[in-house]
Amino acid sequence: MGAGDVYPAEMPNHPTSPIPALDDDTAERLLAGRLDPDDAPPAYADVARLLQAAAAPPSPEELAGQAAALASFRAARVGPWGAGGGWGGVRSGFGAVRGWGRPGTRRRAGRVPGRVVASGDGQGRRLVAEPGRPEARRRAGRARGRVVAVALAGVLVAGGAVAGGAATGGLWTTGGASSSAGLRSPSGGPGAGAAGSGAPASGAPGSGVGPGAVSGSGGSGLLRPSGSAVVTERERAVARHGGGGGSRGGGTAHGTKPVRAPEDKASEAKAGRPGKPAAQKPKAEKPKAEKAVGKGPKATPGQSGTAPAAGGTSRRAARR
Amino acid sequence: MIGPPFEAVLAAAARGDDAAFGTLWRDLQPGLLRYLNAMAPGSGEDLASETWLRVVGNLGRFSGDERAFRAWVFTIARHRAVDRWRRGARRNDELVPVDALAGLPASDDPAGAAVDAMASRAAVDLIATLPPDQAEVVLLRVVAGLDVAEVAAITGKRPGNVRVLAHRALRRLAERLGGDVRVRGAV
Repeated sequence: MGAGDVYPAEMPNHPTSPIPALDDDTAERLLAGRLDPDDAPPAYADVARLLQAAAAPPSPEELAGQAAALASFRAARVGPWGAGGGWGGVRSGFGAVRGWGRPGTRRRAGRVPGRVVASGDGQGRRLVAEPGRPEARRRAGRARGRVVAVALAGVLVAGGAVAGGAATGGLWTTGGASSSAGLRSPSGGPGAGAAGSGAPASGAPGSGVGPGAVSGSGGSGLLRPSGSAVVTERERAVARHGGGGGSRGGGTAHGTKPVRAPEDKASEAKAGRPGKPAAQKPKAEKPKAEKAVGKGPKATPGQSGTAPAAGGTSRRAARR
Repeated sequence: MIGPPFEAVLAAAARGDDAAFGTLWRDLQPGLLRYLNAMAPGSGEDLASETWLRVVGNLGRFSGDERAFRAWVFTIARHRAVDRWRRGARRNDELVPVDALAGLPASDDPAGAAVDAMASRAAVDLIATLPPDQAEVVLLRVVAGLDVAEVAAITGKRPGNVRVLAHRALRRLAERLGGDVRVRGAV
């Protein structure tokens, strides 16, 4: 019974290879080409010759491409416009390749607009600027900027229309007044009234807490269009106040209140009408600006919260 | 190996000196071709060209000694070979007319050069018949002249694994050379 009659796994644990194993030192010298075939173990003499043949000096055939390689080297010579440009780095645990990064990003960042051409003076490539390309890029950038500006303006206009429409039922259909212009009106005149109420009628005296109140709060900036970013002190005061005249029961929306003559104010005070400044004075923890709104002969809509005379008058009336 | 002048040669090549680059190329190209022909049969020339293009592009940013440079170049070559293998060896063969071969330079002893080239090529071909990881280790050790640590770094293996692979490869080569008449003739 020979070894060919059974499977190798069924054979006893005899070495199946007649080739002895090499020690580390011999193997190292063999691989490094430092072991002469005559000095090698008998079984490895041919291996030593084989490895010597594999590491033989170069044949002329292997060096035939030197001219082409030099031409490629001249063409791909690294120039001052892009050290290493055109090729990404290579990770290696041996040499340090400076400026290693993601291939492509650094290359693009350092690229100069232009064209690389071969120079005839033997200095390799040089960079030739293309005058049309930067200008075209600038033009394209401007066009993009214009598109963005138009889109932003559209968004602002649409946002203002939607917000105004939600607040007042359509700013653009009632009187054609611009919402932002009305809200920003420092005088609180017709512009403010029209913007806040959306209808000229909201400014009419005696409209009570109905449309006047709603329109007052709407116009005071609580539902302000997104385009108007400036909120004046007066608008804040009016907003806290609940729409000016409407909240006081005076029947007039704040900002639409007509300027009344001082004698009219005095007669109203004598008659002891409800909603008078004197009757509201006990809840005086509100700021001065709020107290002064719509009170006193000098509290004209344009001076609300800023007229010291209005506050003084109300204090005196409260003492009385 | 270039030896002590390597740093000056490398610096000159990085500055764009043709002669210095030629020195580097002559030193490394034969080993590169042998390694790449074994790793990607039929694509060795193409891959060597791609490798050199990469080397030239990054030459100005490399710093290190000659051994590190050799290891770096063979790392690039290995990446190129792996890329080619992943692409499934889809490549465009360029047909060259026979007349163009007449322009190739001839050596002083064409017959001897041919025999040497055949012996070298036969040896590399025999090494390439080993299992791929063993063949790669042997080629990087013998053809590229790298040590165990450098081969381990290039192939992503541990130095102990590289040693084991080399031992197995040597024993297998000895077994094959013991009964292979064709290879005996080439060696």
